[in-house]
Amino acid sequence: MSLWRAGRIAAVGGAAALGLIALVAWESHARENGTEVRMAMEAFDPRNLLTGHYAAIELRDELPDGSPCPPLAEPDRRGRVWIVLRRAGDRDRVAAGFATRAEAESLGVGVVVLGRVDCQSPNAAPASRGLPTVIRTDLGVERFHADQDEAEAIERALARGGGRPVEDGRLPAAFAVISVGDDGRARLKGVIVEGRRIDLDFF
Amino acid sequence: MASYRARLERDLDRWISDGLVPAGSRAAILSEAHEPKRLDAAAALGLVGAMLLGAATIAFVAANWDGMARWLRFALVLLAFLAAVGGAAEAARRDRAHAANALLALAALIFAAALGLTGQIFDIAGDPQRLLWSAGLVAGALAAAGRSSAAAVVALALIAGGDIAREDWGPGGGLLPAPLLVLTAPLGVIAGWRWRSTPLAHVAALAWVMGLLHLVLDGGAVEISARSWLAFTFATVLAAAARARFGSGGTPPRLFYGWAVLGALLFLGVAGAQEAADAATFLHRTLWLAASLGAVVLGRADRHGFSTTVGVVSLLAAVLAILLDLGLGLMAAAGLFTAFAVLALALGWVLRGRSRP
Repeated sequence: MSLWRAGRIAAVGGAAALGLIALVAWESHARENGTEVRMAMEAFDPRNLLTGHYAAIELRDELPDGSPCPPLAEPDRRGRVWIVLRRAGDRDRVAAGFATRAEAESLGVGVVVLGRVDCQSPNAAPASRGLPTVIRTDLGVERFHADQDEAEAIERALARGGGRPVEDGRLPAAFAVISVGDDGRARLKGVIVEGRRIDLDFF
Repeated sequence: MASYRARLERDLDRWISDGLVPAGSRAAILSEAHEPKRLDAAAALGLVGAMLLGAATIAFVAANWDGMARWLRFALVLLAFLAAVGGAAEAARRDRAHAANALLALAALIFAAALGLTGQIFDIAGDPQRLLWSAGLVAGALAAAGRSSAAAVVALALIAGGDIAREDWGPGGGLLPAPLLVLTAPLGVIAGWRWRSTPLAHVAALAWVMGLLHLVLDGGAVEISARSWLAFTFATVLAAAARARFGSGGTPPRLFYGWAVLGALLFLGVAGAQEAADAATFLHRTLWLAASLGAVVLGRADRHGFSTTVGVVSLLAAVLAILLDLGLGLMAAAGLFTAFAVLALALGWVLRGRSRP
C-alpha cells in the first residue's frame, strides 16, 4: 500500500512537471509561428516588485486631428472584442472590433486578435480641435521582464523620444512586437526602441 | 514543567504510602511509562542548521535571479517542485504519514509559485483566475494521490482565490458560470469524512458555505431571494441528514451539522434582505427567529456548542433586522419579542419539567 501511494504521488508530480514543460514549449512554438504585428507603445517605467524587475507597457496609439474612433462592437462579459489589426505605415492599428471571430475574419484583411479597446475621441468643440484620438489596446501583454539596467536604458531612450508615436520620421516611435497565434491570443516577442529591436529569448 | 515520568514517580510513592498500590509493582509500572521523544540539543542544532541553509539558498537564488538564463531559472523552479514531490513520495513509501502530508502541501504551494514564476520568466500573459484554478486542481490531484489533508486544504484555498480573482464582478464575469468551489468543496468534505481529518472537514465545509454564498450573491437570471431560499432548503436537508447520523458516524456528522446550520441560517438571512415592510417580510422574520431559536435549543440538547453559538448570533442578527425594519415602530417590535420570549420561557419550563424525575 505504501509503495502504491508513493507511486501515485510520483506520477501526479511528474505529470504536473511535464505539464509545465509542455506549457513553455507550446508558448514558445505559438510565439515563433504566429503572425507578427507592431503596435505603438507608451513610455513605461521599470519596476522592481516581488515578481522581479519588469517594465510595464501600454499599447497606445494616436490618430491625428481627432479622427473618428474605429467601429467597435459590444464587448463580451469580460469586456473583449475580436480586433482587426491593419498595417498602416510602420505599425499595425486597430481597424475595427467585432463580437465574434467569424465576423472579424470575414473582413478579409489584417490580423484578428482577442482583446480590449478603449478609444477617446475629442468632441467637435473648437477648444478640442487639433487634439488626437487616443486608442488604448489591451491584448493581455502588460509587462516585459528585463533586468533593471536594460529596462532603465529603454526608458531613457523613450524619454528622449517622448514615447509618443510621431508621423514625420523626426524621431522613431516605440513599438511592441507581438505574435498573434492561430488561437487569436497575443504573445509579446520583443520591443523596438529607436530602431533597435530587443527580442525575448527563452533560452 | 515536570516530565510525565517524574510526576508518575511522585504519585506512585504517595499511592504506595497510602496503601493503594503494592510496593512491588512500582518498578514494573515505571518501566511501562514511556517518555515522549524529545528533541535533544544535537537534533535541534541540526534543524536550525538545515533551516538556515535553506534560507541562504533562497537568498542566493533571489540575489542572482535576474542574471540567470531563463532556462536555468525554469530548471530551478522545476527542481524545487520535484524535490518536494520526491520527498513526499519517499515519506509515503516509509509510512511517515505526517512528513508525507506536510511535503505534499509544500509541493502544492511550490507548484502554484512555479506557475506564476514560469509566466514571469517567459513573459507568458495569463489569466489569474485560470492560474489559481490550475494550481488548485494540481494540488487536489496531489492530495488525492497521497491522501493528504494538508494538500487538500491548499487546493481549496487556491480554488477559492481563483473564484475571487475574476476580472469582472458583474453577472457571469468569470471563466465559469458558477464558482468552482461549489463543485470542489463537496469533494473536500467527502475526503475529510473518509480520511477522518477534522481540519480538512472544517475547511471544506466552510469552503462549501462560501461557494454557495458566492453563487447566491452572484448576478444571474434567477433572483437572489429565490436562490437564497433554495440554498437554505439544501443546507437544512444537509443539517438534518448529518444530525440523523450523530449516533453512528462519530465526529464528522457533528462537524458537518454545525456548518450546515451556519449555512442554513446565513442563507435564510440573505433570503429576506429586502427592506419592504410587508407580510412576506414579517413571515420571513418570524421564520428567522424560530429557526435561530431552534438551532439554540437543538444545540443545547445535542451538546453541540458550535450550532448553539451560531443560533445565538443568528438570533441577534434577526432581532437587529427587525429593529431596522420597523424603525420607530417599537411597539410592534416589543409585541413580537414578547411573544417569542413567552414561547421560549414556556418551552424551557416544559423541558425542565420533563427532565425532573
